[in-house]
Amino acid sequence: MTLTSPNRGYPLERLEGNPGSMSWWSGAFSRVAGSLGDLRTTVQSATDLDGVGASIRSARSKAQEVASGLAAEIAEAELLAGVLQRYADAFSSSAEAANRLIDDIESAHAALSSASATANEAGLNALWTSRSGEPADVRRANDEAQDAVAARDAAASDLADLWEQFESHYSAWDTAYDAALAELAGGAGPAMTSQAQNLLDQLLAADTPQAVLELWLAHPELQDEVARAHPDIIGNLDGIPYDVRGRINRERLEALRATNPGGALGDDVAALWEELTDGPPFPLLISFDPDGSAQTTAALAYGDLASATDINVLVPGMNSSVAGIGEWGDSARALNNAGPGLATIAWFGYDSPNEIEEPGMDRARDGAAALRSFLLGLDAVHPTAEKAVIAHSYGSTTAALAIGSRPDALGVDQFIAVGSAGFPSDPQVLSNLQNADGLRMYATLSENDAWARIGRDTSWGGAHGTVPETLPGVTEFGSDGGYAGDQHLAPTPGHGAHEGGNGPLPSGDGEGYLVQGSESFYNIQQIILTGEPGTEIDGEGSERGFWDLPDWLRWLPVDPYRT
Amino acid sequence: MSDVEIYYHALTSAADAIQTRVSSAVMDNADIQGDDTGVENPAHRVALRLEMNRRLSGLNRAVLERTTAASEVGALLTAIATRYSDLDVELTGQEQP
Repeated sequence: MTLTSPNRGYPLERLEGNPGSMSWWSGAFSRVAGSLGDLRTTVQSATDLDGVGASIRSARSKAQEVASGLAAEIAEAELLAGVLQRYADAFSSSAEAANRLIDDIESAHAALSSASATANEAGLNALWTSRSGEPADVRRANDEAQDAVAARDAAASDLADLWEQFESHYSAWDTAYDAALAELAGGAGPAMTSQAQNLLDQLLAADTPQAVLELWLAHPELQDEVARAHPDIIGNLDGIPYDVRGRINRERLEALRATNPGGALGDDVAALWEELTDGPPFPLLISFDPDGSAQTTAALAYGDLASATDINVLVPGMNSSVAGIGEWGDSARALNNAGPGLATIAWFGYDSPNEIEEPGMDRARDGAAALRSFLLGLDAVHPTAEKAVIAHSYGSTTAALAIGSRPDALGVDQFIAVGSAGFPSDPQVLSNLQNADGLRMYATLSENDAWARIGRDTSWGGAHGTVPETLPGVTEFGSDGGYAGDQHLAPTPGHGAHEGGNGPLPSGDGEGYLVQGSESFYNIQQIILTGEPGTEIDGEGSERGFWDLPDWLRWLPVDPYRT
Repeated sequence: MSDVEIYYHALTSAADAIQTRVSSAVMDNADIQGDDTGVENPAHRVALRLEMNRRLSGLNRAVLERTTAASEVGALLTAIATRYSDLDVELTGQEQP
């Protein structure tokens, strides 16, 4: 169990960050600023060249334009260099100091627990002895009790001192983090009134999406000004109501689309636009960030979030990208059609790993932090709706890390993993998942799914080698074909959420985990509607898959099969 | 050295200087690509990491555009100098007999 500080409620967790890397980047920004400054001086010199001919006049004009324009990039590079270095310095002096105290606090906490137990025992012994013991024994027992109480008080004092230091360092880091964000925001966008700037600073400094929501709702007169000045921030800030985010992000997407972007970004924009114009009902673009990560990140909400009694969040896995969000939209619509009061979000909010990155946890860690914030935002804005997270492949690794990051499961009621690449093996995460009040977990693995098995067995150091289907507390459900009444349900033919997905290995016949008509998808619908899967594992209509051969690869460090 | 020769050297020197500075800026700009500035996700917070990535991506793109424009200035000057026979016209604005 994670300890929290007594006065400020800070969690006793290591604050992530690499000040050496930050300083290197700060230096890189400074070098860019310097070379741009030299370039500006040189280009400016060209405006002094003699001559009155048309060509030289044109060249001088162009040189003046370039020299003037360079000022903006120089200022931005200097700003980034300064902000990052100041944050790096603050991180070194505060966050790293807080991190260094963690072991001491845990030891002091254990020492206090032990000393308290000893003091209680000595006190009881003194009380018992006072009733029936000899005077000498009574004195000795009293002395021992006093010594034990003194030791306990000293241990409590030591712990309190350490907590005080920790809170001081943590608070200094918190302030530096907020200052860095505010400085970056202040260096971009049009000028705002001081009231609007103050609101933006407070929004950026808010520690939780709940605090963001409260601040936003408390200042309706400033909302439009802040949103117009910083649509990229407000459109993605968890805690801001989704109708606001949807309107802002649609305008941002339209503006970007008007520039005819090419390459992967062009594909992403086209896919999002196609979804946004597919209706009615039209989905809401509740997150959209083409630059924050290596991939474009986005989230589309299908159905009416405001009136929904159940909100589902779909999380994609390895090699997913926004360009493929259309088929996830199909799943979302099909899920919503399963019953009344359903809304579903396709959350593409992280850099999904490729095959080389998949064995590691880096993508999951970044993704989990983003998903955690998103889920907390969802819970803040729509607290009464039940929430289900349906995660595929490495998305389930990421989602498990997020949902298991707190004992309360972030307000998630149902966590459904399909074709999981394995849950994180972190004992704290697993403990949170298994003990969270109100959280029910479900998992399925198709007997045809190759990549999920490979993913579990090739994670570095077994970092995500935990098999969800056999994890205590998880309800396993079928995905190998079955029947719903008279309706035949297809098996899932490989690893794909929507298509085969085993490539370059062969896939079987059937439908992906999240395709209407598959046993997997039927069970997901039933879980959301009733809390239980709709079919029996290996029931009528179930097929044997290639990867279920019992003797398959027994040398693997983790048994990737159902037991 | 004639005025035209002096002018020729002024143009080529300016063009060379610009291209040298452009090369330096492009080299330095190549360093600011990627998505790991060391900020990470302290206390599960992602805002600063993402904002820093957005800004460095934007700066990288802007510098690319600006250095391309600067390089075009150098190319314009080089093109003028290359038309050596026209330098009198460029310098004086008058056709020579």
